Amino acid sequence: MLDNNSSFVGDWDNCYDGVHNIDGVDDWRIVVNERRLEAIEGPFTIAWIDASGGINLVRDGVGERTAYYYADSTRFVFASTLDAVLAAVQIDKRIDCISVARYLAYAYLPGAPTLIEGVFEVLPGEQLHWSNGKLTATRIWRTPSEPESITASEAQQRETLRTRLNTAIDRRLAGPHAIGASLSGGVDSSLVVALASCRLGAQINTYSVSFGDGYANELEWSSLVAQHCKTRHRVVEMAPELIAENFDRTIAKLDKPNGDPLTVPNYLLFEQASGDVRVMLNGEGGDPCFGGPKNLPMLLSELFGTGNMFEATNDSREARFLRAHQKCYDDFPRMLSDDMLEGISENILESEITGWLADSRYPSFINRLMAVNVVFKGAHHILPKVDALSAPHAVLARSPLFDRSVVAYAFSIPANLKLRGSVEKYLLKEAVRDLLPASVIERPKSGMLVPVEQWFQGPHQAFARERLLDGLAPYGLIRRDYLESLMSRRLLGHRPRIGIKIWLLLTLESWLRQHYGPA
Amino acid sequence: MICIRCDYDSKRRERFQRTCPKCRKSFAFDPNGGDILTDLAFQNAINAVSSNGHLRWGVEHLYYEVCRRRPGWRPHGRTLIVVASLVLVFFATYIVSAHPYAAYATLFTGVVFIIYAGRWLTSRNQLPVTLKKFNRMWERWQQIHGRPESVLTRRSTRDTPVTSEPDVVEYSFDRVVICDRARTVDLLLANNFHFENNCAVLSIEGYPPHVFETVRTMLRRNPRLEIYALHDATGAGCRLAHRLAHDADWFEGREVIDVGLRPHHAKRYRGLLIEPKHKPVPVGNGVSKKEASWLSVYSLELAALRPEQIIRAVFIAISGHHHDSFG
Repeated sequence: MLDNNSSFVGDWDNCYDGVHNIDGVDDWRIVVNERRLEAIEGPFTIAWIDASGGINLVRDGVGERTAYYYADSTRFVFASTLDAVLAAVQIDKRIDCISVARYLAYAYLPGAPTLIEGVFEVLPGEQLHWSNGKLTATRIWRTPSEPESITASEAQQRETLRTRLNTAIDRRLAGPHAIGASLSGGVDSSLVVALASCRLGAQINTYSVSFGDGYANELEWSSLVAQHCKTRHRVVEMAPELIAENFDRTIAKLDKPNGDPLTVPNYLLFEQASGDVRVMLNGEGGDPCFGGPKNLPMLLSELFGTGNMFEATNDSREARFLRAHQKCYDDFPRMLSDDMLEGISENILESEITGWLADSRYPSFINRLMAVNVVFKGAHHILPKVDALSAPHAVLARSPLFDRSVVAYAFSIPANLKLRGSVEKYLLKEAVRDLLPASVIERPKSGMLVPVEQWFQGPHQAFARERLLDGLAPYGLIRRDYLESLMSRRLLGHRPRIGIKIWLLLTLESWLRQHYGPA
Repeated sequence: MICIRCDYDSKRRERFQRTCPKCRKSFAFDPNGGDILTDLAFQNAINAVSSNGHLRWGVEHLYYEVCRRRPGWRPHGRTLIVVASLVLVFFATYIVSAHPYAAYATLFTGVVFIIYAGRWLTSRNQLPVTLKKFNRMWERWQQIHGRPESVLTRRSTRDTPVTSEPDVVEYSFDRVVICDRARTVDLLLANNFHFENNCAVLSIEGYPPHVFETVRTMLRRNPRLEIYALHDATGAGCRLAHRLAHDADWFEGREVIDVGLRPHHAKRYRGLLIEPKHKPVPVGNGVSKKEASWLSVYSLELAALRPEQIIRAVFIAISGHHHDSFG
C-alpha cells in the first residue's frame, strides 16, 4: 500500500492509463496500489517505499526513461544518472572489462551492466524490489509473443497500424508546448513529421543537420519533406570545429558510453531547437520495430551458412549478430589487451545472446531479431541517448515510433510485411504512403552520413591521435599497436571502417576520463 | 637465411640437414639446396595473400603470389643489363667503325629489340613456376609449418539443409554477384562479402549447391535487383554478363553489370598470363573481335590478383563508384 505519507519519486512524461493521462503523484499512487503498472504506457521510472519498508524501482516497458542502481546487503541506491549513484555510494570504482568489450562490439551497452562494476541499469519493463539486503526482479511488461495465426488482411493491418501511429502522435503532441521535430530526410523522421503536421493541423518547426560544404548530406530530401508538410524548416550547420568543441560536453551527459557519431550532432540540435520549442519529436524506432537494416545481412548469412561451407570459420549465429553491428567484434584478437581477452574468453558475449536468438516466443527469425533489437538497441541505446542529450536543454524528446502500443502491434505484423522481398519496413511505409511524396517512400536506402572518415583524415586527425595514444592507451584496455595502426590507417581488410572505430574509441576515452577518472 | 620461428639469421655453413642451428627446427626450403624461395619469402607470400591474416584465401592465390615472387627473372634488372650492354655496343661500334650512323643504327635496332623482347618476356602465356613445382612446395610447407589457418578448406555441403529458419527464404536481396567459378564464390563468401554488402553470391554453374536454387528463386522477388558478373579474362568469363542478360533461367532482359577481368586489364598483370583452355574464342555474345583474338592466345585468372584487391575492386564496383575497378 502506498499512502500519502509514503516516499514516492518519479520521472515521467505524458503517461497514459488506457485513455487517461497520469497527471501527478496521486494518480501514480492509485496505479501502484491497484497493481496496474503493467497497463501504463509512456516514459517513466518511478520508485517508492512500500508498507513493509521495501524499496521498489520500476522502468517503463519500452525503456523511454531509465535509472541506475547499486545494491548490497545494507544499501540500495538508485538515481536517474550513473554519476549520482556513484557519488552516493562512494565505492572503489573498477572498470568492467566485459562491458568494455560489449561496448566495442555493439557501440553501446546492452543489458543491465554499466562500465563500472557493481552499478547497473534497470532493464525495460523491470520492477526491482529491495528488502532486508535482498534484491529481486520481476517484469511488468515484455515484448509480446508472435501470434499463432493472423487473420487480418494486409489492408486491415495497414489501417490498424495507421490508427496506432495517429494515437502515438496525438499523445506526444498533447500539452501546451511548442512542437518541433528532427528531420533527417529518411523515411522514419519524415513520416513522423508528416503525421504530426497532419494531426496538429498547424505548422511545426523542423530541423536538419548539415556538416558543411564538401560533406555529403540529405538536405535535398529533408527540404522536400519540409516543403511538402509546410513546416518552418531550419538547417543547423555543424562545422568540424563545433563537433570537437562539444565532444566532451556531450559524452559527459551519457550514463553509458554511446559510440554513435550522431551523439554530438543530436546534442547540438537539441541545443539549437531549445530556443524555439519544448518538445522534439524524432523518428527513432522505425528500424528496430519494422524490419530495418541489419536484418538482410543476417538473413544472407543464415542462408549461406559459411560455417558449414568452410573449415575453421567462426560463423555461429551469435557471432554473425555481433558482426552485423559492423563495429569492432572481428578486431578483438588484435585490438584488446591480454587481460581484456582473458576476461571475454569462453564466448561470454556470444552466450549472452543465445537465448534471444532462440526465443521460442518468436517462430519467425525476423521477429526474433526484432525482439532483441527493440530491447537492446531501443532501451539501451536510442531512447537513453535522446533523453540524456535533450534534458540538459530542457527539451522533451519524444519518440512516437517507440510508443508501447505501436511496438506491441509491430510484433503482430507478419514478418513478410516487415520485409517484403528486399523492401525494408514495408507495412510502415504503406501505412503513411498518402502523407509523403512517393520519392521519399521509395528512395534508396542511405547509409549514415556523419562524415567520420573525412574528419579523421582531415580536421580531427591530430585531436584523435592525441586522445587515443595519450589518453586511451594508458587504461590498458586496447593495445597501443592497434591504436597506432588505426591512426596511421594501416588496418587491413576490404572495409576497415576506420573513422567509425576512431569515433567509438574517442567516446570510450572521453567517457572513462569524465565518469571513471584518469587511467 | 632467417628462421621464421626464432628469427635467427644463419650462415650456410651453420646449417645441417635444413635445420636451424639455434632452435633446431626444420626449414621447409633452402635456396642452396635448389629451392626457389626461403621460408621467410614463402611466409611473406602467405602474409600478402591473407593481408596479414585478415582475409581468407585459396591456394591458387598463393600460387600466383609465389610466381610473382620467384627470384631470378626481374624485368627491371634484366632491362638494365640489356640497356647497359647496348650502350657499350654503341660506343664500341662508334670507336671501331668511326662511323656514327653505324652506331646509331645499332642503337636503334637494339632499342626495338628490347621493346619486343620485353613484351614477349612479360606477356608469354607461361607462369614462371610450374603448378607441379608449387604443389611440392605447398606440401612441404604444410609438413613443416602446418596448414595456415586462413587458407580456405571447403567442406562438403551435400547434406547441409538450406536453413533451419523457414521464413528466411521468403525475402530477397538488393544485389547479386554471379561468378564464373566456384572458387571465386568461396573467396567472397568466406570473407563475408555477402554479409557486408547485402549481396547474394552464386556461380553460373550452380554453386553453392545447398542454396543455389533457393537463392535464385529469392532473387526473382526483387524487380530492382542489381546484377553483377565477376569472372576471369577467359572466353567464357567475358561472355558471362551477356549470358546472364539473355538466359531465361537467369535474368533475361535485365541489365547486368560486368565487373570482371577483360583483356584490357591484362597489361597490369604481364607475367601472370596463361594458355587458354578453350581456343579459338569466337567473336560475339559480349566478346569483341580484338578481345577474341587476345583470348585465343591468353587468359588471366582472378586468382592472379590478391584477394584484397579482388574484394575491394568488386566493392568499389557495386558501390557505383567505378564499374571498371580492375582497370
